[in-house]
Amino acid sequence: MTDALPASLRAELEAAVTSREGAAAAITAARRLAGGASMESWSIDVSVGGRDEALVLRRDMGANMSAWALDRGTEFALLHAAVDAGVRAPRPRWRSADGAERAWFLMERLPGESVGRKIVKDPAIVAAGPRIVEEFGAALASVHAVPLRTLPALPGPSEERTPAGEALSQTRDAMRSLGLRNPVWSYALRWLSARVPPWDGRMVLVHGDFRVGNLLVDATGLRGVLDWEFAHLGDPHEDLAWITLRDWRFERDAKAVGGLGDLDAYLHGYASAGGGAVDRDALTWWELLGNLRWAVTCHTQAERHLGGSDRSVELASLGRKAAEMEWELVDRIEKLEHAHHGR
Amino acid sequence: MADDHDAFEQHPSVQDLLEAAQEHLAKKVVPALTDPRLRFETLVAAHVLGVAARELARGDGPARDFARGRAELPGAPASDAALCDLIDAGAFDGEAEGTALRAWMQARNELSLFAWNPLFVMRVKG
Repeated sequence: MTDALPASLRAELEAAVTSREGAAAAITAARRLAGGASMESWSIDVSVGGRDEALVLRRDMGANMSAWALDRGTEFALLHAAVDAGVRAPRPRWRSADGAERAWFLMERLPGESVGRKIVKDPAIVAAGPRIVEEFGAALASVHAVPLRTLPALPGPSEERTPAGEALSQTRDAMRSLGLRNPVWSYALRWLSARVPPWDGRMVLVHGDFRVGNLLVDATGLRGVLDWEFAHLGDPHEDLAWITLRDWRFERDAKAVGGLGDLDAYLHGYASAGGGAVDRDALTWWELLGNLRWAVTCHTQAERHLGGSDRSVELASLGRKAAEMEWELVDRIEKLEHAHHGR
Repeated sequence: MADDHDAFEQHPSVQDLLEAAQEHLAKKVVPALTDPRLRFETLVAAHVLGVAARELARGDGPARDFARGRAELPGAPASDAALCDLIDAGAFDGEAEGTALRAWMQARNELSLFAWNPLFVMRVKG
């Protein structure tokens, strides 16, 4: 791995932008960004016909985390729809040609920090935390309001299933395909299956990975919603709950929303921006399912390493990290059962 | 002259070696790296060496204790797979059975977490 942009990639990007714009494009600076396990990201400055553009490149690394993950072309079209509808997200600029071996797209580079551990330690951001989580809520309201007719074809629940039923079914399938028999998973899945919250039939654009780590933030607030590859159609509670998982608090456990603020401020932001009614029990249910899914996903990631498709110490280590979500699941269920039985 | 029990005792111990490699990565390699991705992955590599050292130091006593504890749960499951089958069949849907299972699972989670991230349980249990 190197932090220099490979010459072949540089040539591919310059040729693509030149051809789309009809003006000579030259990359004037490139820097590798710390990215996820399935995508590489670069900060790139391009001069197009003498005009400078500050961009970010998102490029496939060859392996998907999930069968539901969007390809770069769909993510590009989705970003267009979201930005056009007023969602605070980077405007997409250019993408690779159909059929590219490793698809990519370039999008506008927005200011702000996305690394969770840095965000929760930045004094100016922490001080603005209550306001920032309100903005998180408002941003999700804008995501959930994107008109469905403007979206590219996205994954969603099959005809006979509700979003919760689909999510349970996918989780069960992921557990089976791993072939691991884990009592916490079995118990949590059974517990959740017996307590599926009612669904009001609202089907919306769900970002699918809305959490600190995928949100650009600075002391002025939320600057942009990133990483749309897990977007799908579903229940808004799924999105609202995901950022409240303990793992996305980055050790600031008392601040339920991304380690920055509390749930009331976040939901106030959602409601004030026109988000629909929120059922707190449904939120808890999706949060618990989120912990189960994240635990199973950690093992799926470890399997990429163990199976040899993508050897990586980071992926291997995620299998052990799953114990954090498993602890959380048992702890939360214990407390809910305790309250239910009035002990 | 060494006793029988330590006839193959190695110095430094395997834990010492893992800790040495961990320190090398964290203190000497990481500060020299500029590529953010490589730096992060090297920190992870140092972390997993620490996990391995703690797990080796723990020995296999706790695993035997948890197998015994599992066999005392309703249905006396002899393996995690057998326990999962019992869970799937509803054997732990009752209040008392569920409470016993959760206690056993959580104790085992905490043992795993002691190796993975010793500060986690201390932090979340406050």
